[in-house]
Amino acid sequence: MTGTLRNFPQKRYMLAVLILVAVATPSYARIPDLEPLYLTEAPAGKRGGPGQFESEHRPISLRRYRLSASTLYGSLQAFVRRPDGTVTVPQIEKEKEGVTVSFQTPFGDGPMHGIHTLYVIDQGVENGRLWVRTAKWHTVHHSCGWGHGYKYDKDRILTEPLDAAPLEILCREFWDGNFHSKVQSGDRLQFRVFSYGVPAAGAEVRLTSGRGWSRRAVTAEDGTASFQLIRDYYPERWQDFDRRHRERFTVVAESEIQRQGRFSGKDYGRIRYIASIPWTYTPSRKEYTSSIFGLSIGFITMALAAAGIYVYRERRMRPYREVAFNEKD
Amino acid sequence: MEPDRTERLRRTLKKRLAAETRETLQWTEQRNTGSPKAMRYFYDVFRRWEDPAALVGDKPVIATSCMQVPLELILACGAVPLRLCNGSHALEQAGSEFLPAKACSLVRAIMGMISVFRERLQERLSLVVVPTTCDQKRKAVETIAEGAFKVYPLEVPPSKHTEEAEVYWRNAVKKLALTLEKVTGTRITAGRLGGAVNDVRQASAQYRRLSRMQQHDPPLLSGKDMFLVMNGFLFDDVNQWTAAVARLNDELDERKQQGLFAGKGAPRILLTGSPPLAPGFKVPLLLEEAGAVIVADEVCSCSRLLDDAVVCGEPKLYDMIPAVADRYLKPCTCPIFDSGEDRRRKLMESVRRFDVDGVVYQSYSGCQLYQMEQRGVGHVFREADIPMLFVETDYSPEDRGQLSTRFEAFVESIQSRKRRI
Amino acid sequence: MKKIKRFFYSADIDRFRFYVQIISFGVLIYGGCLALDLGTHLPTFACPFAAGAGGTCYLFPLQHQANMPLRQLLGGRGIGLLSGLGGFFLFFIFFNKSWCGFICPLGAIQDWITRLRVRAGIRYSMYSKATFQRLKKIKYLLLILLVLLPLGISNSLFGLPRLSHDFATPYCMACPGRTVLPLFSGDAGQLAVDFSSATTTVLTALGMTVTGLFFVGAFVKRRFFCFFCPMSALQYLFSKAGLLRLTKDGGKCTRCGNCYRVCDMGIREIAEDIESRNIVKDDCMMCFKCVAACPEENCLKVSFLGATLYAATEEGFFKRSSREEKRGT
Repeated sequence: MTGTLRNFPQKRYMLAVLILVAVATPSYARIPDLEPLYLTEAPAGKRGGPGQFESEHRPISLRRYRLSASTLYGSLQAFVRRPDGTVTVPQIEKEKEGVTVSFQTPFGDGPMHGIHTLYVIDQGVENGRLWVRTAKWHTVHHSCGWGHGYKYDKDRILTEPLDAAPLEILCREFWDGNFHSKVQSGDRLQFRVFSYGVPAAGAEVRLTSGRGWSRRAVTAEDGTASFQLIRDYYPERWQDFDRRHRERFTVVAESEIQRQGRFSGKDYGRIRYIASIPWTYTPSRKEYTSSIFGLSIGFITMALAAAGIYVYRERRMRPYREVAFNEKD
Repeated sequence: MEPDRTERLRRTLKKRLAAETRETLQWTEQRNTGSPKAMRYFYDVFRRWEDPAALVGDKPVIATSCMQVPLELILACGAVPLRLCNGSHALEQAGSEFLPAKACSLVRAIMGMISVFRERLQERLSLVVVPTTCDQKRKAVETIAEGAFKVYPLEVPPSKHTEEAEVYWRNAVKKLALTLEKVTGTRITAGRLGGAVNDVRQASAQYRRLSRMQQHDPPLLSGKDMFLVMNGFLFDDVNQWTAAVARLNDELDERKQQGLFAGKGAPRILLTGSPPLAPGFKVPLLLEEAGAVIVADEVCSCSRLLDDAVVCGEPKLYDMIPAVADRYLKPCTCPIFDSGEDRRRKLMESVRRFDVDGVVYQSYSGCQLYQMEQRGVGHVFREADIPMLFVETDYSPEDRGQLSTRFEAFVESIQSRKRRI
Repeated sequence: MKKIKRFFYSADIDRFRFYVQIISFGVLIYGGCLALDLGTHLPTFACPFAAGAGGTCYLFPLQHQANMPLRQLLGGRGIGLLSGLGGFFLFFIFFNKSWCGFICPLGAIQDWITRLRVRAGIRYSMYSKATFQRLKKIKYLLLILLVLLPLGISNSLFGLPRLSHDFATPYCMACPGRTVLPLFSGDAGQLAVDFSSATTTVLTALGMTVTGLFFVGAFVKRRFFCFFCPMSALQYLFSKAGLLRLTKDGGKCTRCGNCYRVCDMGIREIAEDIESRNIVKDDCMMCFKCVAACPEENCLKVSFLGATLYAATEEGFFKRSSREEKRGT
């Protein structure tokens, strides 16, 4: 009995086999699901670091964005949908810090004046699954000085899905006819998920606010899902309240289908689509304005003024009767 | 004086008044054969001066002693305005009893009217409104009141264009309106006042049309006739007068086509100063006899009565009564105000518009105001090189010869100037 | 030709103006819905706060353009301000100050309120001469403030610290146009008091007070607000160059004061000034009521580039009066 375990050359051999098995066996449990791909503003030298929002009113001629996660597969596609509907390919640079996408936005009123939509699509097979991750970004290229002539031009104002996007989230309530962002906390936004230009039903959509609150929903038959944004801006002191305080929220959609295929020399049996889109929201007007106060001030002023005028007119009907003398010596 | 004698004196004076009326008519109606036919109406109206107390009818009568009294208010109360101003020598002499020796002829004539026709007037007049315009009219308030008349002094401000004057006068007119309502027993409503304003405005429109006939060279109507027409306004019913003037205007239009003029080739005269009044139109008659034709005037018994028009912004009494008040104060060129600038400008504008050759400035002896303004007016005309003749007279017929001579000389000088030019 | 002229001179300009005001009101308040955009240089109140407005009042861009560092203002970007002023000038000179009398929607509202008052039989109020002289200076003060306050945001003026961004359109906060005009498109949001900062609280409360005073004031005084309007002050600076002119022949004037009586603004100079030829004063809104009320032939004249459009005539005066009498007005 003691003789079997004390056989040292047998123990060493079994340990080697165990180690080999451990190394050679691929572990599904240990490799995590891939994160959604996000785009953020690339820090641009002087104007601060991450967390700085793009300005809606002061346009710049070159837009640069950074991908949030590093892509593992090297096959990156990017598209820019311009305000006039044309699609162009932006420049992709692989730098030490990560991947940067950039494209030109010339100034002035014209076909470039409006919303530019950037799509970055990353594909690759991992664990028998083809991961197709799309990051979407809207940039408002507008200056009030160029006029608001497109106010009534629906083609300019409303955004459309891109046929080349494997999965994307679309929302038409982000900006108004003057190209100004209009999303406020408390708003109910309706999102529509498209896959290659066709509405996608059954996709799981998750909205996450800047402070971490999130909500899930599943898209309906026509690809729609709606969320109501939380009110979460409550500074300690009244003086710290900034009605233009911008907070970012992100919407992510995921959808998986069964399909066999081969991509870049690897086979896969399922395709997982992930799409993301960020936008900003500001505190709701209801939080800091009061119609009751305003109307009260208005009506009280009117009442006092009217009463004052009435009393004045009545007093002028009667001629003055009293003359008062100053008794001071 | 004993009542007997007073009565006899009164009868004499009335007869003399009637005689004066007839004499004037002789000079105008009868000697003027070329007059338009429509003038007959005005001659008939003038004839009423033979018995002026008969001028009053059924409606309550409000007598006035100056053109400053807003007629529209009187008409809106359903009353009839009666202007006491007259040009009768007989009445002037009757009135001398109540006034100092150097008093104005016109005020004396008013007092004469009041005293000679006292009983008749007492039973007909509801009120005598006396605007406190010149000194003598202001003091006449008490004298008239002695005759057991109800007198209401209407306060006229001594300035025209200050804010205080505007407010003062508007309040005076508002008080007058309330008094008239009480006296006549009729409320002034916006509708009635609107109607009265419209009637007077129509009269003004017809007067302006007539006045334009005189701008023509030669004029279409003689100055004598013009004075008679306007004088009718003082005591005729407004609407009837307007209709008659409209008829006259139509006829004058026809006469223009036919080429029938008055005073062809005669020097065109502007008459300004103390007002010639019925029944004695001494100065205009003599002037036209001397060969001139009066084409324009600036007297309160003729053109100044209807030169200006009321405009109402809102159709309510709070706006209409001040509007009526303003029309009687602001454009008024009476010399009672501290500034004679508006009068001088108006005279120059009239000279331009009517192409006047010479100006006759008449003043009643006893009227300090017109005599004092003569200096300023004289300057203006001298600078514009317009010949001006200053005449001081009263109602008596004694200076007729003298006036005639002076007028003839004036006419001569104008004609020789024209020939030289 | 002469007959046509006489016909026009006898016309009731007030009625004509009533209809022009209605049309202008429609164009300026609702024109945006028909895609009408008259630009941002309008010399009249056409409120950008009202959705669907057919244009924008020039004071709005003027305040925005004044919000610039002085160095830039005196440098290249100041050209923008000058060109804006130039655009305003071009719009303005055609109609001169009749933009106020015929086109301004806020003026139209005041005229309608006046009609209500007349219908109710309530007496109007007028300023005494001394009060008139004192109050008329307020509009120049407002004009100076609306340029200085935005300038104080980008610059430190008079040694004071820079003003907060809430002073960006200070006049608009106080203007009754901002609260009243959007009501016609169904937007009552401007009636609220904005508590997000001390500045906005005070400014919006002031705005509601002014609105209350506007209604009561316009009820008892004809065209109450126009007396204090900085747009009127700005227009007057250029009024002498206007192509539409209102002239007076002083020799013909009898000083009867009819023109002053009917003047909504209560300008005494129309009657009192017999020297000047151009009789448009800084309060004048060129509604031409004075011309209609003058009984002296050709004393007051409205001309455009030398051609007489409307003149005071005897015939016109009496015709209009009898027409009014018949209508019972």
